[in-house]
Amino acid sequence: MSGHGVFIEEARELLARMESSLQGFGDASDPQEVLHEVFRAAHTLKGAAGVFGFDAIVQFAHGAEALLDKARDGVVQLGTVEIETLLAAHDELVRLVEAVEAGAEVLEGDGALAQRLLELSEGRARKAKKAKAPKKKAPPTQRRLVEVRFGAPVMKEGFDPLDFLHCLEQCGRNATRVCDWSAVPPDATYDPEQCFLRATVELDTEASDEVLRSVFDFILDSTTVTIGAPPAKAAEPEKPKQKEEAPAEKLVKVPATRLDMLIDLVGELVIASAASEAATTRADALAAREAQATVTHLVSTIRDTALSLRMVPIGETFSRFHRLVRDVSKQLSKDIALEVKGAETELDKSIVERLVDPLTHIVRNSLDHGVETPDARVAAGKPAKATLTLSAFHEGGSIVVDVRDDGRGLDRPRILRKAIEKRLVPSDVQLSDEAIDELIFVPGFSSVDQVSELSGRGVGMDVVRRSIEDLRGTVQVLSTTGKGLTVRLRVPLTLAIIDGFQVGVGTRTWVVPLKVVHECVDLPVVLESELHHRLDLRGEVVPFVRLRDFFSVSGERPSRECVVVVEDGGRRVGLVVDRLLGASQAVIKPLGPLFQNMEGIGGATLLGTGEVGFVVDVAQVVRRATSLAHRVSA
Amino acid sequence: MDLTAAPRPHLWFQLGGEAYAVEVSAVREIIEYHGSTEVPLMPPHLKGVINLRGRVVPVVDLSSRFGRGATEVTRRTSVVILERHHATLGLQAIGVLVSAVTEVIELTESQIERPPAFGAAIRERFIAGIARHASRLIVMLDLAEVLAFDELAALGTKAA
Repeated sequence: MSGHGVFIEEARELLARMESSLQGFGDASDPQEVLHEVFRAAHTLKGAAGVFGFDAIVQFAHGAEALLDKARDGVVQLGTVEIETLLAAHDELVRLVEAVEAGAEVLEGDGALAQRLLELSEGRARKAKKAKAPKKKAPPTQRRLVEVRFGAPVMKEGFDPLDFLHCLEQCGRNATRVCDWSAVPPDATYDPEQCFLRATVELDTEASDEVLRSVFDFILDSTTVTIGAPPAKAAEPEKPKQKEEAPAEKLVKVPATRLDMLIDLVGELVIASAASEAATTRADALAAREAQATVTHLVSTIRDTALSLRMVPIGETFSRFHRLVRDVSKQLSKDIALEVKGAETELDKSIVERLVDPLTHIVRNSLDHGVETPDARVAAGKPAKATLTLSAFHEGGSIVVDVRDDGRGLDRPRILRKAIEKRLVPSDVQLSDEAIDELIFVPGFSSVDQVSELSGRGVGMDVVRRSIEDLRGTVQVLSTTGKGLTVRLRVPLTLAIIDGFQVGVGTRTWVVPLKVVHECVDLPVVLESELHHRLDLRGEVVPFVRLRDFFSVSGERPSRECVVVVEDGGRRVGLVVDRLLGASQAVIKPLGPLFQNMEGIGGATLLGTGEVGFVVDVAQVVRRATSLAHRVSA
Repeated sequence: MDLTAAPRPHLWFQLGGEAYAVEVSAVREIIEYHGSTEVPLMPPHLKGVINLRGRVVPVVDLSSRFGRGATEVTRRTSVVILERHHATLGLQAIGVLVSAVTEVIELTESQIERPPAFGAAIRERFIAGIARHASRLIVMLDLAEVLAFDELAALGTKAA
């Protein structure tokens, strides 16, 4: 990873923290703590940008920092104007970081905005100067001694140790620096690409030890920094020591690709272990089977641990929506509060990333079409302030994400009228409420007559459904007219490995995700009605689809077939297969861009034999089967 | 030094009696063809997928792609694994089914001619140039066209 990569990654995190803290500032129980948080983020960013020489970023981070510093001291009150300006500065920083990522040679910041930040911090500072003195004293200047032992890989990681020392020395005055070369091997083992530098810097500074340490944030993995009082003033040597031992959990930064590689390998280990288990079971050697049992157990533990490495709480994604809701409500002159529940719910990073776009679309839809204007709400006997709730919770092997608004709900007569107009359904059709709600997912359906700036730009709920199904998830709408709409997304916790149920169709093996399998029965010849594709399951009529026909598998049907009854979004459907082969873990492999248009297949998996098998996309098959059943019965 | 004049290595292979070549830089490896797993409901030019050391890699039947019927599988049939860059998914490995791999040859710019306007056995846009080598004419493929993701996938929409 290049040094810039580290910077961009770190800057993103800092900016995200800054934004979410700023958003929460108004409602925070401890505003001072929030201020500290934002300040720390701005300060660390400034330091990092300084190391890399991104002056434009330094300028904005510094402006924000200055304003926040004044606010911390109580010299400036953070009102709407200040928060807005800080948010604007944040946006500008995001833009600059993106420019760095895009490889921009010259960074240009918005000068007017920088000026404004300075004015806000200075202008009001002057006004409040009198009040300042009794409130809080500036932190006392101390002489501090910073010992730095640079880690060996620092230079290989693309950093210049000297930059860090310069940056540190700018945190104070009267700096003296002593370099210690004793760690350099005197003989042939010396590797010029490794860093052996140790340095001791003494300086007068108001900055806290934490701030001094943050200069080295990028290289703390390998570098040791000790901060204390210089020996002459050994009056309180204990205090810094304690700080050193703060029992914070140590975090390690790892490139995402390495993590992905690990998970891929664990996936292969799972497959290999399944094959080995099958072989030992056949061989029937007791000792081998016992040893294998241990291996199998370890493999499944390793699998869970490896997958958990990539788990992140969904809260970070949710917090982006504060900004969106705020901006959009202002734009639409609506009064909307965002409530977040279950922010700590964890799911795979690769899934979180792919949830952002669909969620954004759903949220915008709700704000734009679902929530009424304050007047209309009051007229309908509701509070003028609408509430949009984002919530997440685990259920089985899935995570459920709800976007709920307390708006007007789906306008079913209008949806139906629109669908008829667009010839999506015949004009004399009789549909249940649920069937009408389903219409919003039909490609080509957009219920708004006027294409608004916010939503309805040609991408509709069909795209949302498509992208969620690509994650092997489902989308459901639950609407109560006049009360509100809930859009429910259900996605698996991870994309990598699932518990599968193997079935045979023709010469091939297929995998059905085990969590949707309800039961397995023999296909009763007598009760089968071929024409209508319905089957009698203890009195319940269940439509079925023959996978052999669905996937046009060649060859003869066996005399006895089996049915795997699956459940999808509350509907039960039978999948008719040739053979049941039993449960096993399946590692999902993407099929790549060439197969993006296939229907009914959710991905490929490697079987214990090394052959490729396919995972049945139950949601797609079920939808197709039910729509076929509709057509037949209509 | 004029870099364009420097000879560049190309992989020379046979496809149903015709000679073709691609630049070696695009080739990752060559493996023997031991059958592939057919993906249901896909057109004939998407031959199937293979397990390449734990990765699932698609195999394209070039002969079908050129509209000349499926490649006849023999003892010498091979899969050339090529790497193509996809706009959002990054580097993707694609296997290409060929009748036989001949050898790696050095071709200089002076040996390469523009494709003829007509008379070629395959569509003109698939051809990057015609090379004269060992008194043979070798068709150099334009991989960006031959393996255009969207096109291969668009044809993959179900016919039913």
